[in-house]
Amino acid sequence: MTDPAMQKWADLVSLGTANAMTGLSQMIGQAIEVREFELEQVPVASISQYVGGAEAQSVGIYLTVTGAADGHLMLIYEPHIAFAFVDLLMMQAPDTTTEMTPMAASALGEMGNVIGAFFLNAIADATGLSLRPSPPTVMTDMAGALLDVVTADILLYSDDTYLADTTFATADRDISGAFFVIPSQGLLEAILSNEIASAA
Amino acid sequence: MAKVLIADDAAFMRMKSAQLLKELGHEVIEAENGEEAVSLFSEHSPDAVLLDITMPVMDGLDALKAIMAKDPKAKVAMVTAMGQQQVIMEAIKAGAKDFVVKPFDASRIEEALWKLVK
Repeated sequence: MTDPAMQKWADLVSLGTANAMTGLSQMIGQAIEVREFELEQVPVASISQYVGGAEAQSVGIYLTVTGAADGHLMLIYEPHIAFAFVDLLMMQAPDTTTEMTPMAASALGEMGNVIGAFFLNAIADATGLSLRPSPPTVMTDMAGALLDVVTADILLYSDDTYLADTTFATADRDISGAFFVIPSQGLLEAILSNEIASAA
Repeated sequence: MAKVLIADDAAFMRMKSAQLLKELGHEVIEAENGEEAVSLFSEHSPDAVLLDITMPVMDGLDALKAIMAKDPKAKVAMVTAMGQQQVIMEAIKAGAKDFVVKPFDASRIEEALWKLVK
């Protein structure tokens, strides 16, 4: 990707991420502080390093992007962080949730739905493209196994990918997590050509 | 009191919405996807329908079109995080009477329901 194209992609992802954090904030009734936002070109094989290593037990909320082009959105948390989100979503006292029940998974899935939809809403409205999230899938596994779902698709056409990694936290609870945006080549091309065309 | 059909693939959201509607004195019917919503609409003839959009099997926009084909006077509101302008326009054109963006306040659902069944 050229530097101007990378900058446009970064601007769009930043816009989408800000909107996604607004959605999360509204959903959990807490202010969200974005502590870190990085957009990098990384080898697909090394993605798991960004979530504490391939063998780290994690909870993943995964959505695909459909519509004008496809891509992947994934939220990954350490289990105790995911459970803290469940407590917030279900208006429970901290440390109430200690295991992944079907209702806990459903609450996390809905959180992923709101974050993913708000992210895509911002990008769709900025570019005029129709971009829709799939229903979310909530999985508990080693981070490497969770990310295999995404990397298998990307490796079909590239050894590298553009990883947007956002770390965020709430003000009064020790909660933070990563939000990965991993575009397919088609999604990048569609978004950049449309965004560039609309800006021209 | 109204008979309200809610369709959402997330059990968590169905639980929250059903709890709110029952507290308001309404009867609630729950569907897990668009196809089930269309079937339950035919079976129960609800006074109002609250439809999510992103659902498996059949999404909410297709369910909306199927419900409106069965009953052009059906009272349907979309309740979804998909707040894109194109999606809102498609839903309104297909016959949705209101569009509630998740996450919602209880008062916003009350307002939507009041508009549907007044």
